[in-house]
Amino acid sequence: MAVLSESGVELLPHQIVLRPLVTEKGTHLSEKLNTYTFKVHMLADKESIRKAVEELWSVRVVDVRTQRRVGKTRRHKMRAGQRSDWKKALVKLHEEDRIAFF
Amino acid sequence: MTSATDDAQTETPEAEKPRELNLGVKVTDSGPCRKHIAITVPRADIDWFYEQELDGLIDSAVVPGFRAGHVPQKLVERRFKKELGDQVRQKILVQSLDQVARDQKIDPINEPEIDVENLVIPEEGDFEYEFSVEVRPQFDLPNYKGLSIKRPVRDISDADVARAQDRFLLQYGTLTEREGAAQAGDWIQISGEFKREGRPIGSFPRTGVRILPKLRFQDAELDGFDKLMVGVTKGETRETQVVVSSEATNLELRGEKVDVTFHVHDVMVRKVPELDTRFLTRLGFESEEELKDAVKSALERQLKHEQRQSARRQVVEQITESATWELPEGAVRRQVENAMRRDILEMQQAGYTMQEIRSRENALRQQAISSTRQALKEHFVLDKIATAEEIQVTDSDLEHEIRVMAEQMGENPRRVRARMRRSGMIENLEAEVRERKAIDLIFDAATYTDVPTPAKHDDDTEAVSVSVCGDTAAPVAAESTEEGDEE
Repeated sequence: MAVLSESGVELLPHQIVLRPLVTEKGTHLSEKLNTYTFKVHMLADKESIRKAVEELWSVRVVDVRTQRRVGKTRRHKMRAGQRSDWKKALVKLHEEDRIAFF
Repeated sequence: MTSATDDAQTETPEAEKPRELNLGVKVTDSGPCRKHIAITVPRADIDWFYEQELDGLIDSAVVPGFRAGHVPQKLVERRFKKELGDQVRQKILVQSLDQVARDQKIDPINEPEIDVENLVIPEEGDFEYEFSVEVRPQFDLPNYKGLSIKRPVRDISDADVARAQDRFLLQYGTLTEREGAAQAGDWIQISGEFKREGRPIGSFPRTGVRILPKLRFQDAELDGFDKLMVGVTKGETRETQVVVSSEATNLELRGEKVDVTFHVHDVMVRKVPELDTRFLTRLGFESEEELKDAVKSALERQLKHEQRQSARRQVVEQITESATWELPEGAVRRQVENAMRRDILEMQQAGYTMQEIRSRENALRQQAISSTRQALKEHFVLDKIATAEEIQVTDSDLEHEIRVMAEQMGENPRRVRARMRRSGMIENLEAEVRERKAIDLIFDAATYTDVPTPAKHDDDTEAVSVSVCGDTAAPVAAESTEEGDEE
């Protein structure tokens, strides 16, 4: 199921959810709060993330929170550079649902 | 097997006693000194090893996004699946092999033939693997205590001392040309050719020899050399025949008669300097009596050496006499191959073509097999005696051996030791010392019967480093030794 973003770009579920963020903090959130963290497409909104996660893992999403992460500045020799901005989504599932990343 | 376990134990001192595995073992004989072993490791033991490895890995695994020691177990299992599997397999193999060797009293002489890379521990169920290994031959120790050994003894008479002294002094003599015909004991410069049925098969360049009753070539002996040469003068030629030895390297010529032509280039007589104070001082002696004593003690040392050699020969003969048990064929094959490689390399260096080498290969192999079998039997029997008598080789024994070797080679003992460690020869040295100690023990417990043996005089034989068959080997002994210098 394709989702139309605010900008009018049509994104498929696997284009919205780019990858799960498997980190110590993410693992802690998933274990304690049943909340999973993902790197998502910059143009994806909360609604499209909800629909994509529900479709990809067949779960019920209770809440979606997003963060726009500004890319860090990096310097190579005398030249300053910029890493890309990215979007992180924290998806809380219904208490009976689980996602096994590992 | 044992050493690998020792290493594992040193690495993890906290694991004081290794876990006793509940192994299923089936040992069958699959040939002389060869066992086929099938081992089953139960699932519970595999799981135990897996958990041990996993615990260790969880504490040290480095995964991006996690602090060390905070990585979830499932993630570690997934990310390090291959490493975990390899380590568990290795530990199970080492420990199970060690336990089997201990419990089943298997004494392997080489590494078991296991294709470790292709062994896979199943996800579920028991782990089964099998292999073959060569073991030490099982045999009852022959009686080695109170062996009866014949000891060659003889009195060193004044005449013996005088003869040895003459021989010793002869090397300091000067050669002067003889006027007229050669006499027995003179030195002559000869060159020569060997022919068989008129066809030349070899020659030798100008060489100095003494006119003695026997002339010994590398592969033949000429009796009556003195009769042939007495009366010869410079520029003359003498012809005779020799029979090639049955041990000659050239198979075709073994036992054949070969014509020899000697060309005499020079006839010389050796004059020994007068035994005055000046000459004695040059030799390092103060008086003639001192020289006599030194010669006598050298003769005594030679007798001792002869006695030891003869005793060793008799001991080895007696203890391997009843050794009719079978030898591990793999070990025999390996030793024979090593000996063959060494011989072939030597022949290549001596300039033989591959075709010539191939034509001799079978004869060499036969020779190598019989000598290797005897050597291995000696080794196994002496090793068992050493084990029965709890003979140990200490570090100081090895140090002493290395120091003696270094002195003989004129090298630094540290360098010799380092080289031996690098090439793995130190184990061989250890085995040799152990065998020697075992033989010493047999000597101590033996009963000796003195057998008067006349001294073997090599005074009647002159040797030249020349082969009749035309494939002269490099002389092992130095020139002075060839001349019969025993001091």
